[in-house]
Amino acid sequence: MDELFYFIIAKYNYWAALVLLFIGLFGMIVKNNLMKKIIGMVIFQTAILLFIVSIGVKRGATVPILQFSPDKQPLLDATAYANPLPHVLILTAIVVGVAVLGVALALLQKIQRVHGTIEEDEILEDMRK
Amino acid sequence: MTWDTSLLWQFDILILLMMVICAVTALALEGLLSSAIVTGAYSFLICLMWTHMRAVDVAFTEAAVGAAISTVLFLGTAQYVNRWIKKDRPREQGIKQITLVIAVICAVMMLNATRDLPEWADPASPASTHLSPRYIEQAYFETATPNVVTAVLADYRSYDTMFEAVVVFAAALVVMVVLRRTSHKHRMALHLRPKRAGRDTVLRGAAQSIIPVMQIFALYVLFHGHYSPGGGFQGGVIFGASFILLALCYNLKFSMNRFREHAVLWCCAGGVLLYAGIGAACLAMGWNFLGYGALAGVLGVSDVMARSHGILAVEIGVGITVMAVMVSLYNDLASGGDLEEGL
Amino acid sequence: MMDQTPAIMILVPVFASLALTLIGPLGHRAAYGLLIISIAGSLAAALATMVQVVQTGQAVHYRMGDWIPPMGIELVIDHLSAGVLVLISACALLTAIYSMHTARQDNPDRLNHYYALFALLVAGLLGMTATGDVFNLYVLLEISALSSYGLLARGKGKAYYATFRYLMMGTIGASFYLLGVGYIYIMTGSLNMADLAEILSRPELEASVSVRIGFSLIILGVWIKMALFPLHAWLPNAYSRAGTTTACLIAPLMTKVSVYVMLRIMFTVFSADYIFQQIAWSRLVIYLASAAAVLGMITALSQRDLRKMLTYIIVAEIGYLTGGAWLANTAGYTGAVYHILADGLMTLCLFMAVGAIIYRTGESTAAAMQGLFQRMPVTAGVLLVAAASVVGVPPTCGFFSKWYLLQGAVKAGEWVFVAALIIAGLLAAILFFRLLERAFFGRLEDAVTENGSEKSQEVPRKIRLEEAPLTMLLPLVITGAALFGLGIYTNEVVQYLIRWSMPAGI
Repeated sequence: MDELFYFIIAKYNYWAALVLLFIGLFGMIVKNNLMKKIIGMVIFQTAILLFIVSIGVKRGATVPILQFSPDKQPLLDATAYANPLPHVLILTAIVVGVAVLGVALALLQKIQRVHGTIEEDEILEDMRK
Repeated sequence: MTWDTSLLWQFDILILLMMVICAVTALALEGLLSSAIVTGAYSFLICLMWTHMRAVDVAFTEAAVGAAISTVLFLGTAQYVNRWIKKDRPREQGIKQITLVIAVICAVMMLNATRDLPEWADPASPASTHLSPRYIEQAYFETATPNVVTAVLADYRSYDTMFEAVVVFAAALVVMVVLRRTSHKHRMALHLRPKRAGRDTVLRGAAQSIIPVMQIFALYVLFHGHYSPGGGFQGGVIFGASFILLALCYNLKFSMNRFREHAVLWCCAGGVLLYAGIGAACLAMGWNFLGYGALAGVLGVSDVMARSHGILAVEIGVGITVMAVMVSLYNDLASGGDLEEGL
Repeated sequence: MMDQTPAIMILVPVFASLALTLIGPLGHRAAYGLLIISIAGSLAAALATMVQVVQTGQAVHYRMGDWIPPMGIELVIDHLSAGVLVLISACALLTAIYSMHTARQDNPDRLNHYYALFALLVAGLLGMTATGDVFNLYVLLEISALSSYGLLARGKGKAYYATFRYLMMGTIGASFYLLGVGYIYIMTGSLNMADLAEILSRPELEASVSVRIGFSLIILGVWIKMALFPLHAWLPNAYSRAGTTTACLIAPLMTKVSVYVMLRIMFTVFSADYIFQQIAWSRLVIYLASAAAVLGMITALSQRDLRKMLTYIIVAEIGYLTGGAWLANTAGYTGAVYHILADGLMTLCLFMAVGAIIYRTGESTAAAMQGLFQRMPVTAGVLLVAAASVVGVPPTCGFFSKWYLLQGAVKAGEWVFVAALIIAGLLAAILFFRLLERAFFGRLEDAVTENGSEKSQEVPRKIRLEEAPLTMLLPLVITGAALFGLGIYTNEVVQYLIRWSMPAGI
């Protein structure tokens, strides 16, 4: 029992990220409404970001901003701070995500104007005409 | 095996559970408006999660982008499309089902394979022992910036960050290119949308009192990025959000009188130009691109301080671009591209 | 200044796109000129870098921000990337010159913003090729993807939905790549390619499941991006509705750069040993590649729309490239790398020729080919050369890449791939024979009656010479000549570029 408990404690973050990832992927593939597809895409992307940020966590570590001792010397114990590199990557990736979201929504508005609908099967019918 | 109580796993699991529920709900709801709101809630939960993981800069960004701006963009688009999805879908394409089966198999395999990953939050994992200690130990002496995330973002990996600014710039361009070609017929249809006078006294009063504070806070976040969470990106988003709030509480015309279309475009490009220009200046001074140490001679400070100033300068560039791009995305998406009437 | 060429090559288009955004009031000629100057600058820098690489015989390393890798990001230009960089900038320059009339036709408004996205796409592709950092590659991948969405959405009316589908697939591909990078990062703690290669070669990571998942995710993401069968469905829809300039820019380059990324990941980050010994997928991948080649050509044969036909040829060519890379021998690798260059030029040539035909006739079905040799002799001649190259007739470069690929396939004993190469070649021959027969023997009057318009009575009986404008013809002829040139200098290309980039263990 304890084994299992430790196992869950040690990995639950990765699991949650992967579950969210596949929920998002499901939305992107199966949903018929294009807006829902975009929402699926947002969930899918953030799940990956969650996964990568999880890498940066260290037990007993604080935020990666250096603290100073009273005599103004920085405390440089690397184990005391979370890993900053994943944070940097994810900052960039969040920005990429919002950029893609903006473009997707713009295309969605245009699709609505051209085809009069954002349901995938109706668009395909409209294109066949 | 031990784990630190500072990472409250019960709290984590609760949030993650709520995130899964939000994700499923956002996809299952029939109304697109409520879906958008639930997606916003999902973003907010992920912020909590990240704060708890000590990724404050990331959480800050996600709060500003995911929970605020993205939701507004969703709502802005939702007013132009059918807000209710159609339910009766008897036929399903076979290809989708095959893809789904493959996805489920992958999911099971990947979940199973997490066994091989290093234990979560293990300080001895390769990710925490290879590069990251070097950043933590050297960043302050090499860039005089206590916030290691800022130092890595705007100096060690500043080439990435420059292209991050270029990405948002490209997004604004693409949205402009896609949306701002309004045919005459469509323009007539757009005239039918409800006009908002934007005369609600409570909203206006609230906006009047919040917006100056927001803008000052945005500047603080930008300029204090060396010492606290934040930086150009977060500051820029907050500053952009202040204009969006203005447009929401008054109307689009009002906010566009304050921040004109041309100015927005100039700021979009100008921020990136500032960033890349600083890089090119370093190149011209005989260092490599973005080697801020080259500026030491001009600024009359040491190499290390020059790097610190360089970080500040490029953060300002990022801030300007991001602020303008957020405003531009909102203006285009909320008005359907004709910049007449907003959300 | 010479040691700064890698940065200059990527930055010039970035600056150009910023300037292009703002110079709307100066009119289209200024925009056109600025675009050409900036891309010519990139080409010059790329050539200079290539000369340097070939002369010194070793890769050029450029440290961004003067940080020592793996702490900072570095650009690494070796023999493989130098060739691809020159290909990208040369193709982009030719397309830029070509775009004078077509871009204005497709973009009645906001031409300068269109050109700004054009320059950004080129910067993104160059950056992807030059970078030595796996995360930086992701960022630049997204830049090229975003700008290509903008360019493709400028196509004909129904392009929005096709672009939306492409955006979804592109995002899935890029996200898989990012997730794969995440997995690799967990296990290694690094992002620099050279550093990763060193860490991944350690024996304790050889059997790691997570590394394997990371590799699979990255490769899957790249396959989606390069439209390998059966993940190719988005490509023909998105590309065939694009404007002419957009198609000429994106069709030859985007997929080829993705193939380049695949080679980079396979042989620089991972190693030939790891891929062919530890991950024993080669058989399966070669089957997929063979299916791509044959089915791509068959579908191309069944298309009536010229553009759509060409897009399926791209799908088939991706099959050749992938198969060659996974053959795990010298000839196969040489064929794949050589074919990146050859196919880039071939595709560019085909799309330009068809673009010129569409520009003059306003028709995009096969009927537009009717009597082409009389109306547009130069265009038709170049089209003939490009067709010969796709089919694999010596001395065009298409022959040599096929030759290497066949050699590699025979040596590896992959008879399915051998058969696929031969069948696909024959199908291509049939396809182009049908087209060119029409172009050579078809009479103009037939074309008019086939279109079923009432205008037939007023069409002049005598054949009029309607060659494309000079700005279109010139790049077209240069590309056609380059197909011969690359073919004739095959030995040199293989000797000075490809031999050097041969990964260890093949």
